Amino acid sequence: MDSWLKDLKVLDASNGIAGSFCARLLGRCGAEVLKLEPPASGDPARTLAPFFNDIPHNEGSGLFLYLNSGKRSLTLDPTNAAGRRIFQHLVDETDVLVESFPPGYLDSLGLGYDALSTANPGLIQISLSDFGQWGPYSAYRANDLIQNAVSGLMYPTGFPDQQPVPSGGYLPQFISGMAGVIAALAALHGREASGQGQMVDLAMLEVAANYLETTLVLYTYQGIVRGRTGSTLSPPTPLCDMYRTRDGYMIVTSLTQQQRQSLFEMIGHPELVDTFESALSRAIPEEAKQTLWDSIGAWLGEQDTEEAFELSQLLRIPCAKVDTAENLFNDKHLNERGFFQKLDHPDFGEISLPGTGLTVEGEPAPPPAPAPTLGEANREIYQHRLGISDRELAMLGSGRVI
Amino acid sequence: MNVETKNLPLRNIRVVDLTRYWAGPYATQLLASLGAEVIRVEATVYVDAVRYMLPPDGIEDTEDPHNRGSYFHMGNRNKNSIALDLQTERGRDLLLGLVSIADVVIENYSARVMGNLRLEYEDLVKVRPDLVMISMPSFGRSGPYRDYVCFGEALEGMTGLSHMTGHPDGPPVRSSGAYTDPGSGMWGIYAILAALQRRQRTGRGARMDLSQQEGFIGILSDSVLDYTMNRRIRKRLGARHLSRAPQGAYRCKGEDEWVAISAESDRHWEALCDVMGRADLLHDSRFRHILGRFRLQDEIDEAINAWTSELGAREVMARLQEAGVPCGIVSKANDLFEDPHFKERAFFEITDHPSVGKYPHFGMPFKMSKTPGGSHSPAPLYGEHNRRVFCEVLGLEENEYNRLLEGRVSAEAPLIGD
Repeated sequence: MDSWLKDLKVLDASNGIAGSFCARLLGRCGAEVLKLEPPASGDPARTLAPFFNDIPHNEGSGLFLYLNSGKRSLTLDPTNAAGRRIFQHLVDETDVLVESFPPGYLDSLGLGYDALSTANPGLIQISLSDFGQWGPYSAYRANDLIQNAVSGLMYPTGFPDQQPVPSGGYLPQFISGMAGVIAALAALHGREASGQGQMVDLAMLEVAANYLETTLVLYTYQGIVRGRTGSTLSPPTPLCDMYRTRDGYMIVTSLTQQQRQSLFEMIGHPELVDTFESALSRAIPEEAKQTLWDSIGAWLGEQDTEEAFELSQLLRIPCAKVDTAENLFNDKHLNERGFFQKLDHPDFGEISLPGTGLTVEGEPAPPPAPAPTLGEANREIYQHRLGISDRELAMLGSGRVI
Repeated sequence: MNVETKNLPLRNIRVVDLTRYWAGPYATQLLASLGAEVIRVEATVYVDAVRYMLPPDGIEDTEDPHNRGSYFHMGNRNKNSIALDLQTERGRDLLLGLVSIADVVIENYSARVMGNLRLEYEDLVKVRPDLVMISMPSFGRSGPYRDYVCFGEALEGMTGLSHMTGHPDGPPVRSSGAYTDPGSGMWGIYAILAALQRRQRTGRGARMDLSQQEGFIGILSDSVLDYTMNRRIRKRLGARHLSRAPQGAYRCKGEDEWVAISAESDRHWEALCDVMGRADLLHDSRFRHILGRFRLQDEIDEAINAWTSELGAREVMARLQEAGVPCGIVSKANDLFEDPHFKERAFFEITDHPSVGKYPHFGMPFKMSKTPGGSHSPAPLYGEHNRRVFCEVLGLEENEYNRLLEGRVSAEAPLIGD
């Protein structure tokens, strides 16, 4: 996979998670990715936890490493004339520009898509922002919490008598990065026929809203405003819920008649099968549902998670464990598949990075690489590719252009 | 449905879609929305369960229940549907015929199914040497869990997502949707489009496999990395954050109305105090530094709740955003359709389905300036494109098609099992 986009040139002028992940996924296929960072401080993602040995360090963020593995780093401030010229030169040599400046910012510098694509009509520009390049909220500020909230993902998450909660992690940003790489590859495919690039307006809010699943159709088709129901569905059912085990939690689901029968046999209540003829039917009396909740809960409460999981899978019941990061790191399945890849970092020692889950037959997974130190490629790219002299380079440095 | 399809970027790509439920269908829907011709190959007996799921007003007892499930409508727009029994020799031959003129095959059966059907990559590549094929089983095609069964509703437990979601003093909680499904769909499209680039450059196809579990762990990498780097098991944070404070969901005026507020910096904190009219908090030295605000967040939350509970969520959002503070309403389903921003950007796409009529669905995750894409036709009726595909594409005569129906190799409505 790491040679598939070998001739592709990507300029990653984004900050944070979404754009960096998008460019990283292009890099993973062999594209050359130049990351453009603000001089001195660099990408703010350099300040995101976790850090090697828990010590905050501009080159020591694990998340930054994961997002920027294998890229080259240039520093540039495009707000002055010299910086703008260099930005324009870099874009002239670029197939895909990834940027996450506030909407309108590049335009205000004279570096909007129309200007950039005049010299480079094949340019594909992926502009990632919280709410999109236009619309009433386009100047609003957001982050993972706000995206979870406004998109509608958060309101039905949690318990009815408590505040709604966002999903853990930086989900809206990561999935926006994935949507970004899809847009870039689709535009690239279209460019083969048309010769024309295009600009992509990616609003993280709209990506998040692609994950609403039944929240939307319950409302549009059935008039139900989905509320919080803990870990079950709306309407609640014991056949899709989370249960406590002796040492943790398990999620139990079953959809088909066969799966239900196996589940009821496993928990020692085969007689329940007649009551639950259809998994999602509303005709099932609440009392019967409560009996099933109690029965599954009582049985699982006596089991160890690992054993209950193996048994349920042996019986082909679609159940899952609720794993912590520690469980995952020690999981026999993930380890046998080689999911975690070790990287010997030149400055910080060994680190295990999660992979992507993608396997290509006949091709080993691309090995992980460190993230670039801030501005490590300045000399090489500016001098050798753009032909900027030593003297000019020094002047740009002292003028804080690079 | 006024999308112009003839210039869409993937218009020359034909996809044979053997997926069901939500992960695979999400992938093929987006491919179809970008112009690919997607042919869903549907079972004749045990049809995709989501075809029946969540029909209008909950009415399941109709003439064509298999065409009325909203779950199917949201994830199968712009596709063609044919019914084909792959367990028959004739059905298998017809599939191979289709694969021979397709670019991509995508399937999300559990790992052993394609082998049992003798429709593994080795079989397919004989008729289409540069085929791009991806399988998306829950746990990948190797390893001890290879044959394990799982739905997206459960799989998130084994990605770390459930453990990270919920209140610090409560149990973990499942997400509000089967997030691993569209997540896996996105990984799948990425792999397919990258492989098509490779084919373009080298003439070679690719055989790929996605572990849905692993793909989603990659999306939650920060908490996984905290363990691999520092052996820390992160705790659930509710609506709070590791390093920002105050942050949370706050009660507003009305029934179960909430607003989310996140002060990332000193400047945000100052602006928040200013908008709330709480100079006293701003000048309270205990809150001057982020560490103090972090430690005393309960006290700050009380003050914020006192302020927000007198106001509507949209008003709080407008006032705080005006002052530059990250803030947003906690949208309920009905709010989304009234939201001025979603409205102005025309995010939701209305389809007119012959069995149920007009309904809006979620729209494109991005807007491409020259080839916007989107919904151009509703989710297909069961077997709606049988004739087009069997007769026009594969060249069968009308009587041959009728023989398929008689022999239960194909169908125009789901068949009852023997």
